[in-house]
Formats: sequence, C-alpha cells, structure tokens
Amino acid sequence: MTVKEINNAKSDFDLTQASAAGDMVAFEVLYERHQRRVYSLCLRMVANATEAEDLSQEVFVQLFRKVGSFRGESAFTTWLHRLTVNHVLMHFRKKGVKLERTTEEGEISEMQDVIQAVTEKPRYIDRIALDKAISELPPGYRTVFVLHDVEGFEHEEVASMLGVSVGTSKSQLHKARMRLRDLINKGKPQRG
Amino acid sequence: MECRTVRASLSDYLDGRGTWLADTEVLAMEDHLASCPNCQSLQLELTELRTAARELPLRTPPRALWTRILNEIEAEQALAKPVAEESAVTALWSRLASFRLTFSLPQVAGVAALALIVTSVVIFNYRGKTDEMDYTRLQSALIREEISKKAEIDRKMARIEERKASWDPAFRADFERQLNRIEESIKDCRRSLDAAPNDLNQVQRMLDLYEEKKQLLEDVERLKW
Repeated sequence: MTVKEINNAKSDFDLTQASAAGDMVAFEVLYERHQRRVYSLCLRMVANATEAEDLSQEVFVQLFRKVGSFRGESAFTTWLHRLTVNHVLMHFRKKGVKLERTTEEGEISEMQDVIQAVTEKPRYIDRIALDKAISELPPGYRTVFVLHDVEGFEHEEVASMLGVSVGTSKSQLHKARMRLRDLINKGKPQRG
Repeated sequence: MECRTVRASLSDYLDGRGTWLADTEVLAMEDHLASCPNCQSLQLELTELRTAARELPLRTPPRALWTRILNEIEAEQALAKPVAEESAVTALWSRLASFRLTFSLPQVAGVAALALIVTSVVIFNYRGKTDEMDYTRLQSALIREEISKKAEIDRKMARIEERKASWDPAFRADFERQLNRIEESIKDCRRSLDAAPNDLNQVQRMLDLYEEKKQLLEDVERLKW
C-alpha cells in the first residue's frame, strides 16, 4: 500500500463528518489534503505571503466551525474553494481594496500601444515569471484573472461573486491578460 | 475588421467564441487573424497565457500554519467548554441524586479494577500491532518515493547550477528565494519526522515538498537560456 493509498483511505465527506464530531485527527487529514490549494488561492489573490497565511488560517478555522453544514451535495473541494474565495473577497471589502471598475465596453487604451513587431517570442510562458507578474497586477485585475484563468470559474460566477456585471468581468479579464503579457515580456531575463 | 477591434475581442474569441460572439463576428475575426501576423502573434500569446495559468503549481504553506490553526480552535473550544462542562456536571449530579446503590463498595471497586486491566491489555496489544504495521508500510513507501524523487532533483539541480551564473540577477534571486523556502520546509518536515517517524501527514507533506521542488526546477529547466 502506498502513502497515497493510506492517506486516501477515507473520503473527504467521511472526514468532514468526523471533524464535525470533534475528531481533530480527521480535521488534520482534511487540512493536509487541502492546505496547498487554499494557501495558493489566497496567495495569488492577495499577492502577499504573510497575508495569505493569515487568511488560510481564518479559512480553516471557519471551516472547522462550519464543517458540519457540509452535506456532500457538491464536491468538498468546490465547497471549500467557494468558502475561501468568499473569505478573501470579504477581506478585500474590510480592507477597502478597490477592485478596478471599467465600462462594459471596457475602454482599453493601452491596447493601442501593444502592437509590436513579430520578433522572436518565446513559445512557452514560464510559470515563475507568470506567478511574479500576477502579483504585480492591480488587485481588481488580479482577482478576476485568478478566479477565471487560474481557478476556472466562469464569468457569470466571477461577476456574481464580485457584484459586477458579466461585461465588466470579461473586460477586466482581457485587460489583466494584456497587462500580464506586457509584464512578462518586460521582465524577460537576458539570455546568457 | 481592424486590428484594434480584433484585439479588443480576442479574449471573448478565446474563451467562448460561440457564446460571447456572433457567428458573423467569429468569421470576420478568423479572416483577419489568417492574414495579420501581429494579431496572430497576440492570439498565440494569450492562448499560452491561459494554458500557463491553469498549470501554475500549488504552493505549500509553512508547517507552523497548522499549529496556529490548532491553537485558535483549541482556544475557541476552551472558551465554549465551561458552559458545556457545567451542564454535564449538573446532569451527573441529578443522576447521582436519583441513583440507588445496590452493590457494596468493594464489589464495585473489584469490577472496576478488573475492567481496567482487561481494557488496558486489549488496547496495548491492538495499538502495538497497528502502529507497527503502519510504520512499516510508511517507511517503505517513503523511502521508495523519496529516493526516486531525490535522485531526479539532484540531477536537475546539477544541470541548473552550471547555467545559473549567466541568469538575470533579479530572476536568480527570485529562484533562490523560492528554493530556500522549500528547502527550509523540507528541513522542518525532516525534524518532525525524526520526532514522529510514523506521522502520516508529515510523510505526505515531505512528498509534496519534493514534488514542489521538482516542479520549480522543471520550470527553470524548460527555459532555454
């Protein structure tokens, strides 16, 4: 039996039930399984390691309080994912972080400047540069990009979570992608 | 269709050409893309960006995070406890008040002592066996997976070391910061495993950390400079 098999012996649902009954070992296994996903999501949304740790801590404490209300109708990962996103968005609201608003048409002035000659461009975007570029995006762009492109939410879901229109979500995503492309191209290291 | 219009609609085109754009718009965009290398190049870059975003690796939080979570939960439970204990004590007293003793005290003591001995023997034997079984499985699984991951990581690291000197200093610093963070976590995890070798969670965490390190090195290795 491999380590994975031992660790996967119980389903997420079994673990939530045991945690709800106060079983801290079950809750620790649940934490071990999902800590990376929760932390990575927080880290990419706030772009600050200390803040991401604090938020992850709050998410798991909240999870412990609420775990009994998970009925297994959806996948636990989806449920926890939603809980995390809502928690981070609440944190933004408390902090007064302004998510940039644009019109539905999304005036994209910088796009006029991005027409560049087709030079030798990499056919691969390295993930380290992308992670760094995401952290440099303005919070509003970053939030939409992380929710849609990294986490896979649809525009309708993103719009509903952020309280904006679908058009705004689409427009912000496009701006975020264009900005990321610029940041990645600017930060490309010199060839040695 | 002009470049500007195509560029403004490229994300809609990539994300859901059938949902966000009318058929006529899709056709007009495709016509333009077929003949405009600049817009084609942008389309390719945005496509790569979307793919890379989906493949971003997960990050591991510091081990201390679990301790912090546990402390907070325990503190909350301690605050809630007095009320619960109080009601349990009240209930016990009311049960005792209505309880009529039908055995003599030495009889009760004898039965309790016997039950304690039998329970201890059963628990001791059972725990000894399961711990031994889990420990053996864990050790062999960890050793097997750890050896293979470590060997691969060492090979990658050796190749990267040769090229590192020629990197952009800011990128090198960023890479080394990430690598140090993972290595610190591995050391921390190793210390925990030395103290409790059959801790399943630590074993899994160790393997996750090796995987994260391997992914970081692979990312760097795939760069052609």
